[in-house]
Amino acid sequence: MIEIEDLSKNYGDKKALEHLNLKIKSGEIFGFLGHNGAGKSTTIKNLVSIIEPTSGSIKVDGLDLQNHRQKIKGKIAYVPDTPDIFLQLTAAEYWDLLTSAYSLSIADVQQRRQELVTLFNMSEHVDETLASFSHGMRQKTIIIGALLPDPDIWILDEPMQGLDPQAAYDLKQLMKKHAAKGKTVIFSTHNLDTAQQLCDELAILKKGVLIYNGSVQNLLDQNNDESLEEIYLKMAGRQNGDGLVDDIEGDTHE
Amino acid sequence: MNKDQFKNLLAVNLRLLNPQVTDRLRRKGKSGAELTNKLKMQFLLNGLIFFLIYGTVMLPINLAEYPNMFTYYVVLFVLLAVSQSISGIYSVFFAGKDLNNYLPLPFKQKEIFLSKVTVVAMNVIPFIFPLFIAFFSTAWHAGIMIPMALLLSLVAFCIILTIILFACAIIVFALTKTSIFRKHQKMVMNGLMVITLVIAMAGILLVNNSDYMAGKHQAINPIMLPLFKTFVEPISVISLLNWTGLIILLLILGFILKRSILPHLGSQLTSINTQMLSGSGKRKHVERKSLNAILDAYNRQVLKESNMLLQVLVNSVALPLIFIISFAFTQIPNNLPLKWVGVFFVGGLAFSVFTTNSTAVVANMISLDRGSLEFVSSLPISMKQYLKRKFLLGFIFQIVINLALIIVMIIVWKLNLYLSLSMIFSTIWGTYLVSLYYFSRDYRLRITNWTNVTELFNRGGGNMAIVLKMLIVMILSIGVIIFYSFLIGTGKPALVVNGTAAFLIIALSFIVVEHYRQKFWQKFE
Repeated sequence: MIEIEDLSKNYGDKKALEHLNLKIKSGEIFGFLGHNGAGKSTTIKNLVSIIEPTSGSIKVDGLDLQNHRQKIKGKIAYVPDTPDIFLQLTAAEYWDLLTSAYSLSIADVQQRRQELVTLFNMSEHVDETLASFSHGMRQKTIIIGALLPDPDIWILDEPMQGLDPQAAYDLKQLMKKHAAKGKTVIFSTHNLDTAQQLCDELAILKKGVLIYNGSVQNLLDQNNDESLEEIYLKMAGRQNGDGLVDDIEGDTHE
Repeated sequence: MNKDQFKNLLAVNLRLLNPQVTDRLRRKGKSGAELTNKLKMQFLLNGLIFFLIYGTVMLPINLAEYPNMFTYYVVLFVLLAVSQSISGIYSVFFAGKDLNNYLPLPFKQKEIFLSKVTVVAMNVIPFIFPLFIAFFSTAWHAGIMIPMALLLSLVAFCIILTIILFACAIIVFALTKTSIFRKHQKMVMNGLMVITLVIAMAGILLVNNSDYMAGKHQAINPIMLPLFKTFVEPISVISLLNWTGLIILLLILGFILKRSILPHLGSQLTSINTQMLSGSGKRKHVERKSLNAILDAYNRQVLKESNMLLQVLVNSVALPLIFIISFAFTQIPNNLPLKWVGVFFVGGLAFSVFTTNSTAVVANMISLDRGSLEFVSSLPISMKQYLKRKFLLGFIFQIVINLALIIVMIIVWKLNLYLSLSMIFSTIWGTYLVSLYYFSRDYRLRITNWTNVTELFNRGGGNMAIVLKMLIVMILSIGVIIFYSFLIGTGKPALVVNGTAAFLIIALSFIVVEHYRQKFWQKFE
């Protein structure tokens, strides 16, 4: 169980996150939805210890993150929004590094690693550097690395970006499978279909403020005959008719 | 200690430290542990080469007979190690773009610390290797058997290096906890570097003022006496006290690190990372009309965003200055007649080759662009113009540094007007030629996905290459200047000698400029 209490984060004068309160249960897939700059990545970066909150706290299984960072890090595996990390390593070297970070032996993860490499069609690329990979290939490498320790909490920031349709489908299945084992999966996305397919519960953020927390079904039930896209845009989208695409095109073609 | 974590973290950092060698070995099919071992072997091999080079120069000097010269070497290289360690620790721990990659992972704090400090040590060792030779030379000349002298020097070298690294780590980590650092991170670090530099200079000047050719029975710096005795009379009370003192100091620093720094390392790094990401990123818009003005403003911002300037200060200013200062403060006759103008011109050229190295701004301007360079090539602007603006800024930056240094030397030497002007012009011209070389080298070896400026500096042969190049330039320049001075001083017709020298300089300059015009600039037309 993850408890986020009154979490706020400022970047200089800018309020990226304001008084966020959330509870994320074990065994569920939890999604963060929101426009660019809504606070999704900021929340995730706080969860994975990349940044510290300005105020508020995060508890994982009753342990305060601030005081038990090392222990909590051992429970979490993270897939960042931009996969440009450890580019000087080959895929195999990167997985070795992750294996050792979680104090596992290569033998412990051998089978899982092989299965994932085969699933993501990476067999021919294990000895190539991440620098030489496309965005999608790097993403696959990092996803495999994150699953090696079979983490209690798997956090993914915009994970579908750059993945081919097959890899995106496989990733969704892996996320479901992971949650089915009683583990927690947290991810952020702009893709409403993905959110609808995967999330047991979701949080919609707008300009750093939580505007909805609950199940997708609940949201649909509350708004009869409307699609998730329409509901989402009504909640998180534009408030007036300014700056519509039609206006821009009209100006351009005049 | 979790050896496996340490090994893996060290392997990552070794690849970062040696990007070019890693690429070369990868092309030969090396990866994983085999690649790591090859990189370690390369480091040891470089150490051996250094031992031979420095050994050839230093071993003939009987340091056991000249304790003040021993003192001079020790102070010089300890101060150099301190300035290198401070900038290295700051760069590796706090200024790398790879901090985000490590923070979410459950690595143990001690392993992260030790692997990073080991990398700093590997970066510092090439600069201070002569200290080891000085220890060995002293012991050997004092009549101690070679294996024993080697062991003694190696242990002392390792202990002193560890003490320096631990002390610098404590200073940097303590500083990052202060509120002033949180508010003005770059200013504080640059300030610390300037202070370190000034202390280094003052220390060198102080020891340089003493007569280091004084014999062993004359006065020696009392602080250095126990260390000197350690190598001259290893089995003595004073030597034993020295070893005890060093080990106690090491243990105290280790204890402070273990108690005060390591338990909070993860939180401290997260906290610093938060501060780095917490800038609002806002900047007041200034309307600039010409493309050149916009490009210049952009290039200045690129420089500001990296940790580059701090590193430039150490590697491009401190290092040459420390090497040169002992030479600069020796007596040079200042009332030499006009016929010596050529010798000083060559001196200025040699100086600029010496100070402009792979850590200079001009040697990294293109790579600092990261992926933008590729993007710019898709824009309808002249790539030549784009690169020329970069070159100009880098060149101006280097010229300011080199001219400031040369003017200090001119004042210290009290050179007359024509000798001064000769040195100034040759420094400008030499800096231009060397800048051309380093700028095109940056393009040739460009890295757009670097995580740390150290990675950029270590392209080519890395720190080993920088020091080797300095040594070679120093030896060659001294040779040329001595030969030139000999010809002028022994009454050979000055007009003929200077005329020949001028012709050679003009011809060489023409070849260099034309080479880079055809092989580099023309590519972008």
